[in-house]
Amino acid sequence: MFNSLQIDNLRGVKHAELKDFARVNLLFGKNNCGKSTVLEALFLISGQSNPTLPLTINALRNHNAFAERDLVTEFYNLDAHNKIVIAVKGDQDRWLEITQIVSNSNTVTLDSLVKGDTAKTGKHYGLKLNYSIGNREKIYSSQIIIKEGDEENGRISIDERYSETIYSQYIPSGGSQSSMYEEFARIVANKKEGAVLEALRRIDPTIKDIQLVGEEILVDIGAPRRLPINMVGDGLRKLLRIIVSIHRCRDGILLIDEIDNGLHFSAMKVLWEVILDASVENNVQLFATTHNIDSLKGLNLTLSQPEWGSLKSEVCAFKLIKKDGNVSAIRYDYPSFNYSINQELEVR
Amino acid sequence: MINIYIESKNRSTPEAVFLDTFLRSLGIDPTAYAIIPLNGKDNLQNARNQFLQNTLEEGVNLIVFDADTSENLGGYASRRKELEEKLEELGSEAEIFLFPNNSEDGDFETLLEETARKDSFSRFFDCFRDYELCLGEEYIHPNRKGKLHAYITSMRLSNTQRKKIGSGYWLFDEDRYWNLRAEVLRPLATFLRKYFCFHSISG
Repeated sequence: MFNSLQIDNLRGVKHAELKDFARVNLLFGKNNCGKSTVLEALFLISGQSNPTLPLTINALRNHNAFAERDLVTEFYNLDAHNKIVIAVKGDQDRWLEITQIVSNSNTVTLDSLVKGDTAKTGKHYGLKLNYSIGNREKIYSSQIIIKEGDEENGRISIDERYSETIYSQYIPSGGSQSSMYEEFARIVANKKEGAVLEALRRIDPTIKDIQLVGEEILVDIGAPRRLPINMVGDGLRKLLRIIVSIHRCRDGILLIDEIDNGLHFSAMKVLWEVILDASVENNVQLFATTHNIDSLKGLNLTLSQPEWGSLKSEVCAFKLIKKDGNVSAIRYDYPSFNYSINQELEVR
Repeated sequence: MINIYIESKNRSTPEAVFLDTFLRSLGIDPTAYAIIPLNGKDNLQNARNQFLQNTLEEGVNLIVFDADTSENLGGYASRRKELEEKLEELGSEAEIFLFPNNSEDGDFETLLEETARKDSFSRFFDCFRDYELCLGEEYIHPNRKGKLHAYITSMRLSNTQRKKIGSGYWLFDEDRYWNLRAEVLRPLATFLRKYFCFHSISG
């Protein structure tokens, strides 16, 4: 598990420090305060050897372009001189530095000469990732290099001395487009589908069962035929996505942007019960963002019940406040957010 | 934002409503402040995050509590010292005003009683004094909270007005019952105005 995080020069965040993480961490704050960037930093550092992750975090924001200017969007103030540094402390201390690579080759191709376009010929650009585990005695390095004009075919190299030990997943605010089939199949193999069905029925009691048929997840809602999961409501799909992801991330990290998207406020308590239960059972550390006070209220309501009381110390929330690129994180443990909500204090 | 932390349990108490009415009477824009009930002075530490958050957002924190007296382990000097030490321990920044006048022992009720229209309703106060004398030692008195509640509920009010009393709306904006320009309110007005100097103040 990660205990703390430090970020320098990632996107709109010049500097941020978050300390004393719990198993389940809720990030909230005003728009553009750096919530999603914190998730992205955690995603990058938990897969620090993978040089495609910086491109993936752009894709998660639906930005699928790989020109030099697109890569620069990762750097604070759109200035690649501001090298990105992300560090975490915890069971395993990690450090990651991301810098820009730009080179102009002397090689001029005949094709480019024919086209009369020599100015940009041979220009390569990309990102270099230096990273380490522990006390930084050994620095590893990975890179992705893209040739200008051939953005679809980046070349990557990964340090072979390094082997990743953390599995992490990022669910973007719009929901993941990837199939849940493999993850659900894993749950079925482990005979856990009953617990999943029980959780879904708490949102929609009309669901009679959920099954894998071929490579499809089908649900029985009492209609003459089972429906593909994609045909049911956003809330159910969201909850299923979270459950299967927690199971998939066993012993790892799950990152969820805007956790309450698609969920009615009445479902918040169920959501948190499912999350708390599954994340403890699967030893998953979870980080989620929200801008909805109902999420925090749902979490508070769940923890205030005796059967969930033992998990109070497993949860905390962070209010992020950004000023001039510097992000301050105010930590709320259960007693403090319980008090704030009961007293109707403004915490958003 | 100017956050004003009070000891009340919630915003439907005479203390919270009075403070809000008084601020408005000073011409202060209600969107510039938030009255935050802490449910007791001992909850200051639970509100630490609100103090910190407001400071980071360049707001100002004001604590408006009772000074109390030595009888309830308070008093102006000791309560102020206690709060200052607590703020230091929590690493929180706030300015402090203690009822009734930021220099003497007492509480919100001390101030409120002096704001009531004793000139217009002297009969009520004379009778209440006699009533308390009549009770003798067997009952709790002076019962200042009871007296002020009896004062406002003894008035001939409309049903609408009367229904609101339970929610702390003691008609503080009615000059007939309360004098918000009373001399005893000057220290509170002076204290509050200092922090609202950028807002329109007509008083």
